[in-house]
Amino acid sequence: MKIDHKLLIAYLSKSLRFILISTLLTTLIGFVYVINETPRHEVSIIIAPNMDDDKVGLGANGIVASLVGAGAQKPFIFEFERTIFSLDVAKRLDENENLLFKIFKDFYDEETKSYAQINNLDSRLKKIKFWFYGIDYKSIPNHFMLRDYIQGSVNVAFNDFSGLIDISSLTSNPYETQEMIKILLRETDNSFKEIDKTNTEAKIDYLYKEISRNKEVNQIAAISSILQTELLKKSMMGSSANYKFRTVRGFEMSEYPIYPNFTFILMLFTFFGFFGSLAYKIFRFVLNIPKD
Amino acid sequence: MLYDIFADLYYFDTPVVFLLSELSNLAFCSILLCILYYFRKLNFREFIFWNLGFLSIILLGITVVAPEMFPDSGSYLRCVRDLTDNFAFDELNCQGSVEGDSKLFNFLNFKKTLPAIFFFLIPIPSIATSISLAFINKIYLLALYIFIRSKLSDDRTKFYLLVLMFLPTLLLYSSTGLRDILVMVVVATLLFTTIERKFVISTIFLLLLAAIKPQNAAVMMVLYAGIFLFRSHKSFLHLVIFLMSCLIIGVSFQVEILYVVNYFRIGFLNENGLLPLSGVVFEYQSFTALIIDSPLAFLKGIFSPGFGFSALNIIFFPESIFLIILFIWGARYTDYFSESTNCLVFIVFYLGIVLNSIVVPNDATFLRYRFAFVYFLLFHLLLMVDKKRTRIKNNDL
Repeated sequence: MKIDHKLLIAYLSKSLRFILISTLLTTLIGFVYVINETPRHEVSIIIAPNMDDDKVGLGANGIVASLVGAGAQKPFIFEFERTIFSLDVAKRLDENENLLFKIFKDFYDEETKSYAQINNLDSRLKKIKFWFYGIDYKSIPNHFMLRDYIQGSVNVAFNDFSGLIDISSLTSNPYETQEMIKILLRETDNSFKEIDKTNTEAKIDYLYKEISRNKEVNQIAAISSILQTELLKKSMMGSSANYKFRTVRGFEMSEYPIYPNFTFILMLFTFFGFFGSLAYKIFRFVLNIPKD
Repeated sequence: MLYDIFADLYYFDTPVVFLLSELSNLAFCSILLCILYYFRKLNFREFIFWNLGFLSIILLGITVVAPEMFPDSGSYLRCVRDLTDNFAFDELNCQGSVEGDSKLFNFLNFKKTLPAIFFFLIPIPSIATSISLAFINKIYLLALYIFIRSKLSDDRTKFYLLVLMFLPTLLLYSSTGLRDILVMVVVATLLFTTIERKFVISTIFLLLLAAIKPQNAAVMMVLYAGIFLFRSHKSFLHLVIFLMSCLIIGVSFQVEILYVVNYFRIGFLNENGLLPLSGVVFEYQSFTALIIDSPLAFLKGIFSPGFGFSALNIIFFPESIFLIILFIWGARYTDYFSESTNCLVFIVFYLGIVLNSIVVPNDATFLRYRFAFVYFLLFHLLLMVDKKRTRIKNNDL
């Protein structure tokens, strides 16, 4: 077969009708899809770590100091992510706010006072997977599922430049989600407080003993200064004030739904129709030419 | 280049958008392949292989390439969007500078800017998801394949080249939106232009590489200087003079070289959260220590990630062994070390592996940085194998 670009162009001109109809059809499907999608709002809050008590020891090393710099806040984001999506926080949310029931109330059976199994594609696939391991998988709402739900619906992003943490969620129930993030942050902070509490109390006990044992005025003054810091920490733990992080910008909610983006989704379907049909036609054309 | 201005990136958790976006990109790439096949730039086998290659981006994007594995890929995408929207780099982390982060070494800092321009040059339908740029990476890889294939005359070596393009490391990293494929393409092109002694074009490629990835440019500078300044391709004497000069320069500037090595080493430890809170980290204090450590670092580097039972080890350790065997076979077949140019190419490969092995503590990152040098050597070896096979064929005739 003769290789000529004019042949290809002529073939495509003949296929123009097919390409046009396919594109219009996918655009129409896109239109139906987009009007059936649940609108979602964005809810977000910006926080920053309280770095006063967690200064990183940079030492005298010039390179280390220059590299660590603003990155000193990095370990906090790791610590924060592990805690906010921990089982401990999920349990606290359930115990204090009954969040498990609030989220999975549709599966709660009043008669048996227990949750029913969730039957969807994900649970069925997991059932098959665990069957191979010889484990009987049951998709029943519990603290693990609550933790997974929180992890799936709340997004935590750390900005390297500003050192700020953006916590956001795309939701069809913005007010409920805002409330959920609020209590989630509170319980995360409480979890931090609980972990630090024993340490701080041990430090305070030790410092009190040291003060009563020492007679030197200078030493007593130095220990008192450390004790003051630890006592302040303890008072923070006992109060409802934020302990490990502070709010930089409070909750904000988008005025109108930001998902689905009407134009984008429609254009995506149109592009898919156009490129898909064009590829199909060219594929058919080139496969008909003799191989090598 | 379509994307949603209200969403940062789409992942597979929104399957409709993800699949529509990537299938549109796949269709675009298939059209490109069809045109290349129609105009006889690819044969049928290559046409099928590359179609599967483009399809693998979606399959790997769904199953293997998790967004948290390559957080950097989003940053290049944001720069491409910035360029598409504003025809400028307004985003803070997209801007380039002539005097980069470190005045000592990173004097050309366009590591986000230049890849973004390269990505911008190929107008794929959608840049909405975390793996969209992978299609552009694969197109550049295809271009490199066609470029290298044009330099080969034996059919079997052409097939070897095709197979090399589908080894696990390249398959994985060409399915991400990172700059590493661009780095590899520039490194490989620089190799060919340098050994063909095209001075101007080699200089341009070296500058490009310096702007995208200065570490690699520093290593490739050895090849460039060896060929263009010391004429190391002429004889082993030239090569020895060049190496002695390198050693003298290395010792004379050891303070600066060690600063750069230690800077990157500590930088990577910091990036991986491996810096001790005390801030005290082992640093190389002398150039001699670096040279003494280098054979061990090289062996560690070529056998990386080593034997183990994690997915990374199971897939990439056999690949490392395969590549070592391949090199040994190729080197014996072609009598590789009998030419000074080949020795110089191997020295550059050695340097690249050693420097990355010393600097990068993370296995996955090391593999990502290593493959540019691995393919640099393999492409050259393939060229030698092709020469030998053609010579044998001509003798037979």
